Amino acid sequence: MLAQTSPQKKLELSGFIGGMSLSQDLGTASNIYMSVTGSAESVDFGKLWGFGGSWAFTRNMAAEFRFSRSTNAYSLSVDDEAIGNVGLPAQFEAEQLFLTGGVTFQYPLELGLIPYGSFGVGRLETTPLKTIEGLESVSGTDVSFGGGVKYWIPAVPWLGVGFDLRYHTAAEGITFPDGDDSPTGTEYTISGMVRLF
Amino acid sequence: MKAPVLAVLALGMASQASSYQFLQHETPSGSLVDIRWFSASFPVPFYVNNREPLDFSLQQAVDGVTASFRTWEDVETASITFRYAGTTEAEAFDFFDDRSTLGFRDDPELEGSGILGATLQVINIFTGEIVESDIFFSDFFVWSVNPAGQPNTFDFVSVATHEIGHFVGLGHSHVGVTETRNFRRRPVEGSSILFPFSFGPGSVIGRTLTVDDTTGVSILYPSGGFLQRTGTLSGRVTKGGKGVGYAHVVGFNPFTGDTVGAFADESGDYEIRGLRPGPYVVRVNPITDPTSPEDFGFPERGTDLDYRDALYTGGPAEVQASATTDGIDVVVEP
Repeated sequence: MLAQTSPQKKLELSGFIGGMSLSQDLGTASNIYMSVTGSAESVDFGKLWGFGGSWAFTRNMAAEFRFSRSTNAYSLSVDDEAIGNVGLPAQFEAEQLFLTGGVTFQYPLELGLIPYGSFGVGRLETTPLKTIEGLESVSGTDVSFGGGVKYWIPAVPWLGVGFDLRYHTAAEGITFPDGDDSPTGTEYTISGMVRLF
Repeated sequence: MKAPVLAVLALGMASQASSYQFLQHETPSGSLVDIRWFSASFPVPFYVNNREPLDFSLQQAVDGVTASFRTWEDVETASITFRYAGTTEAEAFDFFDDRSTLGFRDDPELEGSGILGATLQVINIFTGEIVESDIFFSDFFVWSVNPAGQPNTFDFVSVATHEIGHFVGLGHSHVGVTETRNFRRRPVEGSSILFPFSFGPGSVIGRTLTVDDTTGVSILYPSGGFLQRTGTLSGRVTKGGKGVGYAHVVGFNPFTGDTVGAFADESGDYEIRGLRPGPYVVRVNPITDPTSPEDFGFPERGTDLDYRDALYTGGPAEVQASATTDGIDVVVEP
């Protein structure tokens, strides 16, 4: 008899939740009373969710796509000649939609853990959750890289869990009219995975 | 039969304003109505007194006021229109002649008064409809129509634009910050052109409407779905638990740069209407020098001016179209 092992399954699908620590300087807007600056706030776990999939070309390399959505709050800081400096947290919210395609490099370890690194390119679309006149949505190229670790449960070998951390830098984000900053952010997620075929 | 009418005076660079930035009138039935032209009068005809001005030609005066009317007419979100009807022998402030007349005046009482111009409306007391509106300019100042302004003269077009704001039914706005120039307090650029004081000799800033000005005329004469596309912030200004009457409240949208003001009523309740959707910073301040409560039609005595400027810090103040965001309450301190 020939010794056999079950063939490696190439398709993996995942769903994940997590958080997005976004860094975005909205710039400064002024009127006769005050100057107002704006920035994104870090948010708690649970403000990000998404799903993805990958197709392994080899034991160590796979093509990947991911979609994720996060919501972030933005704060304003007022510098008023008569009143002084006043911070106004959580003045509005916007959603970030990330669509990414990329590659992952993974190195299965004997104890069952699979660490990996990833690199992706895609789009980030940012849309205020409530209408802001003249600011429907903003989108631009997003580059991301990061890594994580996967673990396929021995008793249920088609089912796995994972942890992922990746850094995003995007070309366009919402700003005040004179602002020109681009958003960056760190996405951290935990995921559940299945592998098929 | 002609409806009974009542003359309402809007004085010089001071006016009979009520809460918010509108001229208002209490009808015999007790309801408060905004004073405004009804659309059946559009285009509202205006005349120019045929006396030659002292500092430029009559034609230049006609051209100047026509340009000022056009400035208000060009507000895309407002429907009011005007029509130059010719010159007339009637004087500005010849009341009840059914002619809205603009002209110069050399009344000795104006000398030294500091009044550059004034607007008077004749209204239907039952509806608040303006049926006549006259504007005079004082002969005791030196005027210019130079597009670039002229040192030591007041810009006729700027002052006419301010007065036409009253002509259409707007009261004075307190959206303004002053600085001292030539020993006098003058509003800085960015202040509403309906601020009670002139931008000063040589300045033509007052030819250009601010968002505060265009919002006011658009609320009175909305077009293009203005009221459906904008929203309202409302709340209450309190000090020591009591409402602060006639407090001035300003909303600033950092995305659009819009700065729009309104006054609280006598109880401290306020609403700022006509705001484009987005997040706002809400700021409260008392009526401050060099203006006084009378400049806005409020009682000189009993209007609390003893508190410091303050911001609303209670959470997001987001305006949505066709909606009122309530509860934007501001606590001020002495």
